[in-house]
Amino acid sequence: MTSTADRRFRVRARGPVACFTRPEMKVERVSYEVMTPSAARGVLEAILWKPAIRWHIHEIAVLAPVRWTSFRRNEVNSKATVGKFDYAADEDRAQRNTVALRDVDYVITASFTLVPGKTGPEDNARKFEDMFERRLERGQSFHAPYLGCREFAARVEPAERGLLPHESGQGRRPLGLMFYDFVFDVPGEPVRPEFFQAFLEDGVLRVPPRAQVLGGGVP
Amino acid sequence: MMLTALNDFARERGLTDDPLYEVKPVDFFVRISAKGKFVALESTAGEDGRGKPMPVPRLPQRSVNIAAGFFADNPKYVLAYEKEEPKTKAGGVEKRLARLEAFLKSVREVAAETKDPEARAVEAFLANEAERRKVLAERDAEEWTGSEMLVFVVGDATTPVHQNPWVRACWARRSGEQRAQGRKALCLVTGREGVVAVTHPKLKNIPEAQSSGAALVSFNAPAFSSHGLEQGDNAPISQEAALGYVLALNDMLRRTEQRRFRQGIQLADGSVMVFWTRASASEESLLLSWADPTEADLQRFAESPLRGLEPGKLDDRAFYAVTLAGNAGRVAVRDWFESRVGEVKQNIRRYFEDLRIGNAPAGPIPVYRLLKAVEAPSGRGLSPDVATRMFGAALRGQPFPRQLLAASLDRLRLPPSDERFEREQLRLRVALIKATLLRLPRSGTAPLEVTVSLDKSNDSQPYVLGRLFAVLERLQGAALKDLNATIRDRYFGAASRNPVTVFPRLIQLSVHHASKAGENGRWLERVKGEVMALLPSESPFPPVLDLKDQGLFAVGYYHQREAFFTKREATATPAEAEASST
Repeated sequence: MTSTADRRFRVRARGPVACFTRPEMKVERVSYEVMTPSAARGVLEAILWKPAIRWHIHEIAVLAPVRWTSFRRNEVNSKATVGKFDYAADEDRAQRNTVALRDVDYVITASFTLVPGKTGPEDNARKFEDMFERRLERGQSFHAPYLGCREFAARVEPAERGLLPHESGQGRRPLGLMFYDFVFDVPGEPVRPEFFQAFLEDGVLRVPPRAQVLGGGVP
Repeated sequence: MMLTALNDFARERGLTDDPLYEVKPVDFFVRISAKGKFVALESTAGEDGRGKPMPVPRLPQRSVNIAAGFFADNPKYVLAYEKEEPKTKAGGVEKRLARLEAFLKSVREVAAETKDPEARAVEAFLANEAERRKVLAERDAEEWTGSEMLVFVVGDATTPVHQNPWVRACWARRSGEQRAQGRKALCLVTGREGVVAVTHPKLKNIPEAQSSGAALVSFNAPAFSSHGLEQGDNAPISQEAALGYVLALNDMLRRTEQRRFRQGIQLADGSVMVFWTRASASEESLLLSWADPTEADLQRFAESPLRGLEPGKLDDRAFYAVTLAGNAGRVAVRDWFESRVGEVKQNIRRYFEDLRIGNAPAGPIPVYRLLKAVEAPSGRGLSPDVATRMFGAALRGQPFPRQLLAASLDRLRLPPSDERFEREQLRLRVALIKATLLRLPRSGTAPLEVTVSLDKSNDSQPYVLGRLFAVLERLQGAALKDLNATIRDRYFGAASRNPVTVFPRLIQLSVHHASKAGENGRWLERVKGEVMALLPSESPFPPVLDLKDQGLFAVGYYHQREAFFTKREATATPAEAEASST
């Protein structure tokens, strides 16, 4: 039994609208230029997630040119509260602007590892690999995969070979500091966000391994 | 990337050199003696009636809270001034006294700490109510507004107390201590560790935002924060970086004598586009004068078209543009654009080329005038972000919003409301139609040919029909002179949408017009024949034209009409000049 799956899956996710919200402009949302690793993880988790596995994103290839769009919506100021039913959205509204991406198309390269202590006796990496592959082929998912925000649905399918990034051959371009993921699992510590220096190299965002980001971040 | 670029801009232009001080117009020097007795209230107002700008210790953020400045503030804090009758607060202490107390507190601490005689003099003055009243008595009660900036000078000194080295050292230490109390984290903007700003300074002069300022980065409702993080922790940005990007934006948004925004363009009512480069300030002002010309700029352009937009050595530098809109207490980003200076110059040049039509001199047309020309007179009809989208498309060299085509055609179909601006309005509308058509998104098909002025070889049916319509209008004008409603007022819309329902009748009519118009009529009949020869003989008038073809129709109409005007200007025979006056 292995604890690490070295199989790399390539998943194509695309959709008409996407918003990978920058944390500093969260109220009047502005998207990152490129899908963030945590958004990519969300897409994969929509297809297969068990407590026993943890996804790792290695690369996000950007197939379509970066295009923007913006719109305004009426949203609410409060978070949903369990057990509260007498809620009137009309009295709790905020008009919020969104600067989102149009017609995005990504190929996510990812793998997963087994989480020690969460695996059952008959769990092994092979089993989950096959499960994921089967579900991806059939288009099954636990919930609708989405691009950054729940309302921007993604079309997800296995990526065929020979897909070229839009900026292939154009060299390295800095994207600035990008949100990596939340750190959920340090016992006794509150959840905190982590960031990494992102670059688009020939149209591909290479995502550093988790250990490297956590090491390079806040001590 | 946007905040990083702004923060870099602030550092490069030296806006953050002195983060503890800000340059503000100081209205009065309060001169006191070394014992703290009031001597004189000295106005610093120059010829323009405004106070002299000088560095003062940065004022804290205030809304309804009480937060005093350091040795410099307005009379509410310095003199416990209150315009209205003082109200007693629930806590028992009057608000005006609480303000003075807050101001006095830091002065008292500094005086005790440094034993500086000037600071002690200020302390003594502030503690003495009779002396404070003397200052207020120096001016009429109506003259005080409560927002004058006051600083202190002691004895015969020429520099105010807050510039005194002891006091400065004290201010630096106090600010440092206060800052060190914050939480440290990796700063999202600089990528270095810093003390996180809990709340960010405010942006001023953003349209539709609160006049006291609005924040770009803020989290003011539970729905905006995540995972139990509060305020600034949702987006860790260091205090230096927060100050940097705000200073940069405020500098660009500042009002100047010529412009509403020093380095910004007003787009429609609610938003402003600011832009900056990693090149030089002169490059920026050049681009600005192209995108949003003032009268003086227009004159200069008439003399030297396109000069200065030639490829230069700075073309490789980064260019940034952001469109901001106010939303009460918050500022929203509507559009964000990052490119190279050279590319932007190219796109701006193409934008003006695309808009050029007829014989009017080539030159920039301010965006707001273009949009005003296609807006319904009520001011409604165009969605609020259409200006943002159009200008974004201009900078990126992308297709214009299709809405503009529909809007300009709508305006053309209605009879002109005001004769005086009619010709100019028509030009702007058709220019916009032409540019929109040229930039229509196409997949594979040949690009649409739309020329600047009359193209006699263009035999595309909508274009020719437009020309024909102009000839028919001209014939009617030549025959009937003064008319209340011309065929344009009555039939333009129908002719451009459903040519077959209108044109046969108009052609019949024109025969009568031609016989009435005499010499001029015979010439126009010949032109009519030439134009009609370009139409297919079996079905000269199609039943329906789509939006794009209606646009071409309008361009054809305009080209032919302008050609008539040019003809008159070149060889003005009295008969023709008279005929064209309709």
